Order: sequence, then C-alpha cells, then structure tokens
Amino acid sequence: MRQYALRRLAYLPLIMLVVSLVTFFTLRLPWATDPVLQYVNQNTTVEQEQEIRRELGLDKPMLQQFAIWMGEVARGDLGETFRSNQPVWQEIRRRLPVNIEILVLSVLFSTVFGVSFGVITAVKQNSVVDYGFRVFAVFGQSIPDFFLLILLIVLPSIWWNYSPPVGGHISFFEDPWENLRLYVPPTLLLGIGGAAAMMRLTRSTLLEVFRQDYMRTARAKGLAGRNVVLDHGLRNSLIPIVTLIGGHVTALFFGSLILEQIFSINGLGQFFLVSSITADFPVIQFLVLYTALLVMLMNLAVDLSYALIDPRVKYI
Amino acid sequence: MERDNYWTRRIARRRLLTGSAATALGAGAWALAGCGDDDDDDDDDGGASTATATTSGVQPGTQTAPTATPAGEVIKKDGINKSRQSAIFATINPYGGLDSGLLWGFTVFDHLWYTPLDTGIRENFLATSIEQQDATHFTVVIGESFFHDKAPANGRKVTAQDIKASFETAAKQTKISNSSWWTQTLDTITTPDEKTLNFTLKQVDAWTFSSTNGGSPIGSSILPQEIAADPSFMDKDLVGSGRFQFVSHENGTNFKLKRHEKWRVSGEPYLAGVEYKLIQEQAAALAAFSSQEIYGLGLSNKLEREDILNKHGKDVVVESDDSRAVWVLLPRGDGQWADPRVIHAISYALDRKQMIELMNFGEGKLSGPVPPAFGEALPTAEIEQTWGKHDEAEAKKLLAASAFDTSKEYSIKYPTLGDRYQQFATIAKSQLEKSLGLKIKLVPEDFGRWLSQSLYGSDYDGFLAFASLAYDDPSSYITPYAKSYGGRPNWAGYMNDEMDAAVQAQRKILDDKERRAAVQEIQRKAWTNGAPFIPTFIAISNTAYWGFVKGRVTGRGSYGAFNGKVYIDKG
Repeated sequence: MRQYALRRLAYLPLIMLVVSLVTFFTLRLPWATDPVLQYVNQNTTVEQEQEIRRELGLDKPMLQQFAIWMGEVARGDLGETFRSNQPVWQEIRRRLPVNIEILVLSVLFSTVFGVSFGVITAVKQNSVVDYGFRVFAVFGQSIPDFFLLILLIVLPSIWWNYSPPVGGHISFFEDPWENLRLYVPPTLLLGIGGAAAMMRLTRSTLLEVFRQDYMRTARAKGLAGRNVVLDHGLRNSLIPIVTLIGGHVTALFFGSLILEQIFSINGLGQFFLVSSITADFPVIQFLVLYTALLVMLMNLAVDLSYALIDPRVKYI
Repeated sequence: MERDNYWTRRIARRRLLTGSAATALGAGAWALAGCGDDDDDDDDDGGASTATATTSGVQPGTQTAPTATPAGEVIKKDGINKSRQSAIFATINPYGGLDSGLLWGFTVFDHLWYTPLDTGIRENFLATSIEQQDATHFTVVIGESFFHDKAPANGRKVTAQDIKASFETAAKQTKISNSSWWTQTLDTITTPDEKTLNFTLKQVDAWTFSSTNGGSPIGSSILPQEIAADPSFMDKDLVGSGRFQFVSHENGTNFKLKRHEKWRVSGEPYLAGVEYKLIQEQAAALAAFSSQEIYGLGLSNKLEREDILNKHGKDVVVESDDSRAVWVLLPRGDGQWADPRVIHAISYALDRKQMIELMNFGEGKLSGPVPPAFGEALPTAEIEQTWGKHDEAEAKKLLAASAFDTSKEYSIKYPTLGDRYQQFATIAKSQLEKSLGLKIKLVPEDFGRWLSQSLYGSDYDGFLAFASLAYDDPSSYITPYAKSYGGRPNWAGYMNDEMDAAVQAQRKILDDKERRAAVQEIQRKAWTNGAPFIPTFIAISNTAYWGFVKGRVTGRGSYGAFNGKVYIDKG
C-alpha cells in the first residue's frame, strides 16, 4: 500500500505543473477579465490605468510573469492578493477556522443522519417508517439549500422577532454558546438536507448486502440482529458511503458558499468567489492549485481507506 | 451575490451607508462623493465656520442642524449605534477600496472642508478660514484638532504638515479612483507654519472644493504624517482625527468604532460608538432589523417599507430620499445619430412613467441630466417638456424626418450587474420597438468587457443602458458632453464644439450662482443639440430607522454622514 501511495504522490508535481500552466495562461487570455478594471472609474486616466497595471505586476511579458510566480511558489510565497495587498496564505488562514467548523459539523450531521436513517429504512424496508424517510429524502434532495437557510432566518423573525446571530465568525473557544448558536442551526439544516443522498445510498447498498449469502450465514449462526446489520451489513456497505463523504469533505474545503452568504460568514467560499469575480489572479492561481492538490489527496485517502474497510482490497 | 467592483461596490456602499443610522448617513453617499467631516456648525469650536467669502465655490459656511429635538426631550449623549455592513471589505485600508475609503472618510478621518450637495456651498471643517488670492492660489488656516490616542500619532496635535503629507499621498494613489483633480489640478502645497497651508493649482477649477475633487471623503482624509509616509500601515490599523476612533475588525467585517474623546467639536459625537455587522442578504437584514440587531436599514422597495410599517407601526420611522443615480440610455452620438431629431425621437419614445412603475413600483422621479436632488437640476416643468416628455407621435415624426436607418438592427448593451440593469434595458428595448419600430437586440455583457470595450472604448452600434454613478457633485453629470473624459474620447463619439466649450467654460466660472446657471444652461443646450446622454428617472429610496435613533439628518446626501448629533434613546 505504501508503494501505491508513493506512486500516486509522485504524480503530484507533474499534475500541479500542468494545472498551474493552464490556469496562469487561461486567466490572461485576451478575452478574460482584466483585473485593472476593478480599480478604475470614468475619471481614471489612461496613465493612471497603466500605473495600476504596473502595481499589479501585469505590465511585464506573460512568460516573465509566469517565471516570477513559479519562483515565488517554489519558495513557498503565494504572493499578495490584488484586492487587499495581503499575503494570500494569510487571508486563507484567517478564514480557515470558519470552514473547518462548517465542514466538521456538516459532515458530522449529514453522516450521522444519513447513515442512521439509511440503516433504519433498509432494516424496515417497505414499512411506514421506510416510506416516511424516503419521502423525507426526496424533499431533502429537492429543496435548495438557500431556500432552507432563508427560511431559517425569515420564519423565526416573523414568528418571534428573533434573528439568528448572522454576521461573522465567533470562535468556539471565545464564546462556545454564541459559536454554537451561529453554526449549529444552519449546519444541522444543511446536514439533514445533505443526509438525504447518503440515506438513499446507505439504504440501497445495505439492501444489496442483506441479500448476500454471508448475511444469511451470520443470521443462521444466531448472531443478534443488531450485530448482523452493523458488523456485517454496514461494514460491507461502507465503501460507497466513504466515497460520498470524501466528495462532501472536498467540496466543503472550499467553503460552503451559500451558507456563508446567507449567514454573512466571512469564510473561504466568499473569499474565493469574490476573488474569482474580481480577477484577483494570485488568489485564483492558488485556488486552482489548492483544488487540484486537495482533490488528489482526498481521492488518495478515500482509495486507501478502502483497504482498511475491506481486507479484500489490496494495493500493490 | 453581488459582483465586487467599482460599480457594484457603490450599490453595496449605498446599502452600507443608508443602513448606518449611527452616522445618520443620508441617502446613498457616493463614489467619489461628498465628504468632509462632521458638522463644523454648532458650537464655537475650531471647526466653526468663520470662512472668508471668496470665489470658486468658497463662501461663508452654512450651519446645518440635525433633525430638531422635540421640546422637552432630553438628549442622551451616549449609546452604541448598530449598523449594517452589507459587503465584506477587501481591505480596511482607505486607499485600497472605495467602501473602506468612504466609511473611514465619514467617521475615522477629519477633513478641511466639505460641500453639501443641496446648498453647493462649501463648509469649513478643520479649516477655520480659506482665503483665495486668485483663481489658482488659496490659503487654508486650520483650527485645533488631535489625532486618536494610538501609535504612531499617540494623540498629538494635527498640523498643516500632516495635511500636506496626506494630500500628497492621496494624489499618488491609483486604486481609490480619485478624480483627475488630484493629478491634473492640484499642483503644490506649502506649509509656512503649523496652522497654514498654501495651495497652488495647475489650472483654474471651479469645482476644486467639491466632494468629487479636493473635498473627496477619501482623498482629503487627514492622516498622521507617519502613516502618510507608509500608507500600508492602514492595511492593519487606522489612526485619524475624526469623530470616531477605529477599534477593531474581523477580516474586513464587523467594525467597531468608539467616540474620539478629543474630537474638535466639543461635546460631540453624542454616540459612544458604532458597531457594524456584516449582513449581506436583505432577508437576513430585515430579520436583524426587526429584532433590533441593527437600528437602520435601507429598504429595497415600497413593499418592504409597507411590510416594516405594518409590523412595527410607530416604533419605526421610514425616511425617503431621492437617489442620485440616474438611469441612462446612451445612444451613439456620431454619424446618423448626430442629428438632434434622432435623439429627440428616442427620448420622446421612452415612457419614463412606465419605467418608474415597472422598476420601482411607481416610486421615482423624472430626471434631467443632473438629478433633482441638486440645485443645478432643471426645474421639473422644464424636464417634463424636454428630457421627460413622452410623445410617440412626435417621436415617429421626428425620426421619419431624419435620415435614420430603421431597417438595421441595433443593440442595447448593458452590464450583467443585476436584474435591474436587465430590466431597464428590456423596458427601453420594448418602448423603442413599439414607438419607433426599431429592431433592437439586447446584449448583456460581462461588466469588465462592457466597461472597457463598450463604454470606454465606444464599441457599440446602438445604445448602452446603465445607471449613472450617484455623485455628490453636479459637474460629474455634465462632463459626458465634453469631447473627452478621463483622457478618453467621448464614449458616444459625440463631438460637439459648442457643448465641449460650454463644459470647459463652466469649470472656470468661480462665482457659484453664475456657475449654477451655466450648468443648467448646458443641460438645456444638451437637449437642443440632441446630445446623446438620455436621462430617464431616479428612484426614491427608503431607509427605516427605529424611532430611538435620534438626531438624524436626511436629504443632504452624504453630508448626513458627518452628523455628530445622533444618539440612541433606548430604554
């Protein structure tokens, strides 16, 4: 397995180089957004515009710009954002706690609810409970997150003049109550929404596993129903579930944009979105590299986890 | 989510400002718009208006009072005002963004003077007198003022040298979208002593003291010399001498300010502090307002206003104000479009009342080139007969009399900045097709491309549709009639010697009354000559406040942002 992992990791630099080349030059195509335009108005003279271009380092030939950037990246310097003149990494590090908390809570809620409901519906197949949860799953998947989150703000306001504490990250270590008041309701709501897909996947996988011979054998051995379901059934259903969780985690690493926007939380999602829209090249370049790296590492982690979950999976 | 750029930041800023009951920001304060500082009115402190009458927009300052305090009401010099911040600031450095530049210009930094849009008459702030020797020289004497008690200034006195350094540093900035005044008009500043500044201009500019130019809330912010020498200091902290001292922020959000105890206007500001809370979504802002998490809120339309009033009744006050952003249709101004009959036909074909109804639930006003909020605006009766007139029959007749090619398809290009731009373009298209039988296609464009290629590059074959910037300065609205603007040729390709000469000439008229008349005359000439900048209407904006936010100033544009008499009378 170690060799397999090392082999996968060996591809990383090459893939990153290709990604960085494509990103860098795509951003500078003639029809792409010119970042200088973010800082001009109708009073800005052509000379001032050129000065801004020089300040942003965009006046140099493209290859020279690329060489400068690669040199900086090789030294671990990700550059400064165009918008704030602050180091890119510093801007990201400031927002990371927000997204880690959203990630942990969302994945926790969606996994706990999704797997639990999935197991219950599989065990109680075609019962009222099963139908009830399946209806819930359809709702969960069909109602957009933004609508659920808006309701979470609007309904308490209409009913009780209550407004959830929108407007910024409150550290758990500084004020645990306010922190949970801010993060738990939306992540719980998103978690329940996100649980729908996981519930359906868990249910269908479990039902398939239930039909396997070894499950019949386990029951015939006289094992308790709970042990049969959890130890034999669920464990053998985990591979697709872990794959799904891996996808969730990867996506949430870039921030939960909708949650951040509606609850006015200044996290990575908004930072990356605004940077992309305003053509903040250093951030976009970093974002793409970060995405590529994260996706590759997460896929590797998920692949390796298969071997831990299922001893039959071997990596050579 | 809104795009974060120059044009949309103004929208975000407007929301921010209109939501800022704390500073009693009036209607949407503006891009390069007005600033100055707190009222130099009341009290006989150093900032009081003792200006000497001079020319060039310089007259003795007027006194301004906030909303009158009802008899028997006790003013409470206290309270934290809670305001909405509707967009994340990329940086707190005022030179890094218009949003931060304006907000701190209204609160953390002091200024020499300010010119409110309603009177058009400059008011002295830190300046105690301004003597104008001739059209290109003036001398400013400042009163006593102190910086906030933080490093590197540590509460020391503000000197003329600080102001010189601040202006010189501002002139070097590129990202704050200063007007060309800073580079093309301002020449030198000398400081013979700690209280006196001698300004020399490269050329006569009657708008020198306007909020778009030397009175810009951003550019004219007074910084300590130490910070002016290294403005990157402001990436992390702000030190000024304005009414409020900067306390903290969280990654460009949730700002906290506290009262400057040694503010030059004794006894002010009444508020102990201001807290801004990031609330991006309007639905969340309405909920936060209802639960008194914020005390003021800009409303999107009259439905929201009615809802708020139904819900909270007399506990809430809703104030209305005229927007200074004019919805404009900009046809070409060259070739067949240079015939005034073509422009008149297009203007007559537009049904502005329908536009107001469809876009603003009937809450708007006809506008000439200079919006109605300004003293320089044309009288309503005159607008109704010219820019505001809707007459389909006359429109058809005029177009038929011209040699305009109606067989060709023309485009209306608009920036994809939000639904309202599309809505405006769609309504204009439909009205022009119906009234004139023109064939028109809508072309939505990415904002960057629209701005650089279509507007600045004059790359369009029909019309551009957009909302103008909401300046505090009337001159900005007539400059598009000149042959060039910001060093670029006229966007519409409109090259009219008479209009160009009139625009250039008014910049040199130093007498306020004469200049005001000249600006009005330019608008009349624009109509007569068929200048291709077709104004349609302005929206009326509504701002809700809880009744316990007292001492507000409204209807004075961003001047209201300098009111130090707001207080919270809650509980």
